[in-house]
Amino acid sequence: MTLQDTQAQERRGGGPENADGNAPAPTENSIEIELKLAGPSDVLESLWGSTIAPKTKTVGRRLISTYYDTSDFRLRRRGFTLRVRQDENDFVQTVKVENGAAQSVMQRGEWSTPTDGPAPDLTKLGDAELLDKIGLIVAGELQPIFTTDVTRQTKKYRVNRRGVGRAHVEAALDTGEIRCEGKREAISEIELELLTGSIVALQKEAARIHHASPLQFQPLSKAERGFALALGDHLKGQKSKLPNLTPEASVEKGLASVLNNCMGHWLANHAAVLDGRDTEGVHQMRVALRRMRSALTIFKSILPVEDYEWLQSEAKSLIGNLGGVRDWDVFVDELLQPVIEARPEDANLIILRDAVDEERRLAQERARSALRSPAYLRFVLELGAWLEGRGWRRAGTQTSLDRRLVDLADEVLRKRHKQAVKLGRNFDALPDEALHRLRISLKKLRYATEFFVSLYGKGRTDTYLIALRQLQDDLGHLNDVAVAETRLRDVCGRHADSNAGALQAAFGTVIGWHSHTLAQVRPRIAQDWLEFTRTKTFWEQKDVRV
Amino acid sequence: MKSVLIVNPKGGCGKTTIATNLAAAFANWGLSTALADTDRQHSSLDWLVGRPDTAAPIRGLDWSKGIKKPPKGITRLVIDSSASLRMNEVRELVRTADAVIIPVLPSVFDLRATTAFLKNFTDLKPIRKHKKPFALVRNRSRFGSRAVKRLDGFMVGTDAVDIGWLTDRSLYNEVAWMGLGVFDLRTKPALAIQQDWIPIVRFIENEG
Repeated sequence: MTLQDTQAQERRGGGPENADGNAPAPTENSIEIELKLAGPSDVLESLWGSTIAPKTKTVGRRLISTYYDTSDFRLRRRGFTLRVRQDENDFVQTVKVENGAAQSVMQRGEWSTPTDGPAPDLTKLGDAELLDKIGLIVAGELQPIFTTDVTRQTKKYRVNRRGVGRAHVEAALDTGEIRCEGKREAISEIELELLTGSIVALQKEAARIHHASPLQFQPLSKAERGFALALGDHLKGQKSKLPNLTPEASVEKGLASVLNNCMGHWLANHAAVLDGRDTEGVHQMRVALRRMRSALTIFKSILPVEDYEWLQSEAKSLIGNLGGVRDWDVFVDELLQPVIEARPEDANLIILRDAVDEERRLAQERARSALRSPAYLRFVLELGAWLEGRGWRRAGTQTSLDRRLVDLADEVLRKRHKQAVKLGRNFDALPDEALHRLRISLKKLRYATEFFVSLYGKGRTDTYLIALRQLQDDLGHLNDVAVAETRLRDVCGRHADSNAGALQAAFGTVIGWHSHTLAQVRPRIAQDWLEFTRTKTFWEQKDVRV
Repeated sequence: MKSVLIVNPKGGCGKTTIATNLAAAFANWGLSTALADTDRQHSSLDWLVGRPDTAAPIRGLDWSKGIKKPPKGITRLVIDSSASLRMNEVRELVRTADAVIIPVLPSVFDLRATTAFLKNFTDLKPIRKHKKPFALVRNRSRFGSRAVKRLDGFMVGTDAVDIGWLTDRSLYNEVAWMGLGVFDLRTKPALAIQQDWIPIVRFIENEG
């Protein structure tokens, strides 16, 4: 048994196995579990000397890594990165799985071999399965894309925390920069890697360090940051992926999978929200958190009450912090812009747009500082530890946890569908308030359906989901106008300056414009509703199973 | 498994050269590779017979009497098809392949024969419905030559992906005698010739 195998064995023994065992993954002994925390280098240095195993010997070295790809970025497109790292006179090439094949937020596949010089040679990896996934690359096709140059200090130490188990941890303090054709970006982060032991203990250790001196969550690898720098890409918002569940899955497995999936979706948008250029980032992070809240409600009966309340309120407050940006994004892109295009000579609209831009900027600042706050990282770490440590088991609902997930899914879908149909009764005569309630109910139904698609198969769920999404989209437009009205009233109320009159006028124009178009949308929504109620449902109608 | 079909009923357009070299490229990349030959003359399989034991292994499959299921564990399959195939045979082969490569020579006879073939080929359902990517490669060509320019004009108006040209090199023939392809060698001239293959590899990896 190789050293790596031993480590993987111990690791498997030390912590609960990964919640979502269905995703394609690299071999188990090549999965790396790590957590990264970022902060100013002086703060990190001081933590290094005082909080992170201060008595343990530090080993320091300079690491220069050059990342390679083909000119059509085939490695990157398939979710791989390839780097050659120079450590004094030795060269080591490493392939990592950056996304897709990775299972949960912290786990990445990794393969390494020494090379004779700075040029990579993937055939030396000798892993036919990996080479098959990467695909054929002709000699000379790999080109250097960017270089990371860091001074890395490391120390290995053990943590032993009552109730969460032990871990052997390697901590690394990286300071340096990413370079690419004259462009530079600073690197200053602490990485905690689990060598052996429990993931929960690693999470708790990160929380302890963060408690000593607040740091920030760093979900991006150096490679991802390097590509963003090299390609000038802005970091894009990421859509959710459907959880992958099998029909024989238990409720517990479903809970772990779905929550891991929501958390992954949320954190995948962290960098895009901070970057701020892609409006999808904020939107998707909000969707992820709403999905999470919806999932918590689905599994409420098996969660400890205080955990349920804690998770709901943390997610809710985060959604609130992101809300302003999203509302203004929707307002500008979908409501204001069409009116400006139709009335290019209307100066009031431009004054409104400028005022809204300012509001959006402030909201963006609020969202960013929420993500940089100590409370945010604490929640990320605590939730991570709770998920890995199966915090829900404290509720003592073991029998319910072993139940078949598909039975719970049937129940939830049946209930949510019934509720939506009830709220939509007498659809044509529903007042706005009732439509709003119906919209929320449909959204919950949609999230639940999406969580459980893999239990029923895409073929059975497609028609239903399409009808549901169409209806929800159209109802969403109705809501956008209502939200805009509230937000605008607020902005106009605060501007008592010389622009107040212009803003009022523009406000009237935009809301008036869309109130008129809404009248035309209503019949379409009624049609959507009819289609939806006529769509065949796909779950078991009664408990026919034994 | 990913499979590539090399097809063109016109004889002598370089199907076997492309098939054998592509198989050698996959094998040298460490992939479990098979080379299927539909030709009763067994040109590809004969090449394999001469292949030294020290070279990256390629599994030969005799498809001269029909398509067979490739053995388990194969991750890349290159299919070398015979000249003068009937269209229903082409249809069957296209069905088994993930990507199709059609070599064309810049000669008037080849262009005429290939035009006739393409007319029927592009009528095949998976091709017509854009379900299966196919590409034309100008074989034994030289960039900028008059013949190649004529070939360029010919390629306009087809849905084929343009995957460049393979230069006429004596090395292909020299190493073929030994059961080798240019991807089996690490010499400077061989590495230079391998660069010609980048667009072909890109096509197979990205589209196939």
